[in-house]
Amino acid sequence: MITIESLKKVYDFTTVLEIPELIIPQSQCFGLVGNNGAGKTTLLRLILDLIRASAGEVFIEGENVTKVENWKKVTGAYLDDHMLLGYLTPDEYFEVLRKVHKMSDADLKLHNERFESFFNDEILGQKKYIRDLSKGNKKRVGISAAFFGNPQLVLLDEPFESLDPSSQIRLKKIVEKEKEEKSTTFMISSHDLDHVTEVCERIVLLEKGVIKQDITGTREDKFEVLNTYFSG
Amino acid sequence: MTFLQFINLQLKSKIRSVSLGRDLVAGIFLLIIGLFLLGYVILISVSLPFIIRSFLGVDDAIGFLNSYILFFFATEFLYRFFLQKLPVAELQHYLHLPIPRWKIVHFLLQRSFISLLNIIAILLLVPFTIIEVAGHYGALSAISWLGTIVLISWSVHWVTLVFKRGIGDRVIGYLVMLTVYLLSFGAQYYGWYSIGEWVKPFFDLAIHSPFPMGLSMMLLAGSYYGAYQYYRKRAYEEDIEEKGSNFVENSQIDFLSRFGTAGAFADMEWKLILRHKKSRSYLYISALFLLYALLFYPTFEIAESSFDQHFSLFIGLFITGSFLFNYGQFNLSWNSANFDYYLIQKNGIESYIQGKAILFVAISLICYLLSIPYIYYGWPIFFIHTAAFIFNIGVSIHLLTLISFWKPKPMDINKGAMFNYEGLGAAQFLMVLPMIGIPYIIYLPFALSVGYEVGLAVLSIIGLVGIIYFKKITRFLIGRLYKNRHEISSSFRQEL
Repeated sequence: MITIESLKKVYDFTTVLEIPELIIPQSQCFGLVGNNGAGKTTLLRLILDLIRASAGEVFIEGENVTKVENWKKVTGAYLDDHMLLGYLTPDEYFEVLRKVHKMSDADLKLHNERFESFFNDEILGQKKYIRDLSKGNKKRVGISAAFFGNPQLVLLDEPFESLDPSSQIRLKKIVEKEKEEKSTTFMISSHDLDHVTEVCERIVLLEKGVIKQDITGTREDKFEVLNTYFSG
Repeated sequence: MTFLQFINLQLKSKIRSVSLGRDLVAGIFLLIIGLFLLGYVILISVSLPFIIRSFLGVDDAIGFLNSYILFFFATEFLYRFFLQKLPVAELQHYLHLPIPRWKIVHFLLQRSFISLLNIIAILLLVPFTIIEVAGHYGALSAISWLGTIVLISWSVHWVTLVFKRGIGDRVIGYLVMLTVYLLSFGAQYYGWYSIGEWVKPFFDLAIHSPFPMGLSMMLLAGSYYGAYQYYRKRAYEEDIEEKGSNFVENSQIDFLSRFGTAGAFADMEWKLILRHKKSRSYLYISALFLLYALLFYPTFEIAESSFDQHFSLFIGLFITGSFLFNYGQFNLSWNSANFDYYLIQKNGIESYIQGKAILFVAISLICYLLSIPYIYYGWPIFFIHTAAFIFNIGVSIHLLTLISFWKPKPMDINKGAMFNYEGLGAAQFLMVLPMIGIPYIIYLPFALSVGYEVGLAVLSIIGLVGIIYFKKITRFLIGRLYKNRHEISSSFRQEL
């Protein structure tokens, strides 16, 4: 699904990310873990072609992300608040997305049903602009926006952060269901080792822009490796 | 997504802005001013043939205009530079969606074209074209001539967009602007019409041949394509945000530490000003105004001409106050991100307001001191500047602070570059009007009836009263801010 070749990002002579090679196969749930400044968000942004790479290439389904844009149709992402349109209500925003993704009304209804328990009656039908929503509710809008148009690849930056416990659990269920039913590929960065080891089968540990570990195995194994690493 | 849907979203974002009230008032004012200006434009355009014939005694009105048209474009470039907004901030809301990048860039660019600025050329020249060109040469010639000019004027739109984004906020940008200014002024004063004469044949030809219009069409297409390429290459998140070497230099101002917490806040604010592009550009503008006076004073006969005396007050107010006017009107917005911090400090609000005042007085004082050498052109200049300075620090500072309390707009100063441009819109200059108008309302009655010295004296006295009651006024302002603190702080937390 994603192929990364000798990718490098340099800001003012400091290398913030350097990945010689990374391949993420279809339907893998790929976790990104690392302390602050490890380069997690930079990597996600590079994959989405939101910033320019200093060197190297990213391919989504064999397409160089800087050259073609077809991959945008199969990719959904939510990295931060700025991806939303704060002056719209959630319903209006979803309506805009429906048009952008060329979905029918029925498609939108289906989508909203999928996220019904995740929204918990706090998102849809609200007479509030997105900018007035709480942090957690903004995140819920953004995450569900990333699933518009049945993407085959979903990138989420710190999705569990600022969500309430029930939403965290519901989000994990959604991710698992998507993976099972549509073999969607996920790339999730997180500071929450508990959640990320549960939901992701493969976890890459970044530190100062370099891959330190590439971990697979049972949940307990992964958790153990990460725990030792971060305690040390 | 279509262009119409995009425009619809843009409209919504305007209507639903938290600072709608403020924007609306600014918008209405701008509209009134705009209508006035357009009225003038139409008046001028209708009487243009007459003016050229009777006043200037030139028979060939079209030829005369053709030799001047270059200065029209230069002027257009100048006001476009200041009034035109850059379409960059919207980018980040759309980049991740399955809309091709080229389409987003086209949307943003085309949206920027919807502007009153782009019909000025048409309004200005249509009556003239109908009376003169169509009258003498027929409709086809008229279309070709007007078309050539309008198309070039539209090309200036795209050129300005690139220029403003490219070097607009650097010193060099202001230098280029100054050069254009000086050249067009110099041309007026000293009569270097040779450049105008040089391009005249092109516009003369437009009357007889469609060739120049075709050429300007190509120019328009070329400049749009150039702007598109330029913005397309820069349509990345990292270009929206302010980057660059975040070198940290020690810019502590020692004397501020005498003022306790207020001084510490003032010092903080000073660092903010230096380290943010937009506020830094206000400092450049202040320096520019200092030089700007050089355009006028050498030609003034300040001791004799009363018009020159009245006009010098304008210059004096600007020299000592341009930073105040620019920065002060968004006084609170600059701190929107950490406004709550001031709220939870002991005496936070108090020190905050005082700190701002200290800083404004200091900057104003520096500008004033730097303007003293203009004494060279006559003592009256010194008195005029002094009165302007006293009035600015005695009255205008407080007035601006009071205005800034009203529906302040949150400003995400960490996202540097995009807001960097927002501040240079037309609304920004609007606030200058009362700041110039009020002193004139006080000054003119005395100056016209008795003498300019009396006008200056009255201004100074009012300013001095403001300085004497400085503490009292600040206390009043603090009270106002304290009363509105919840409303202001919650409005700062909204809007992405």
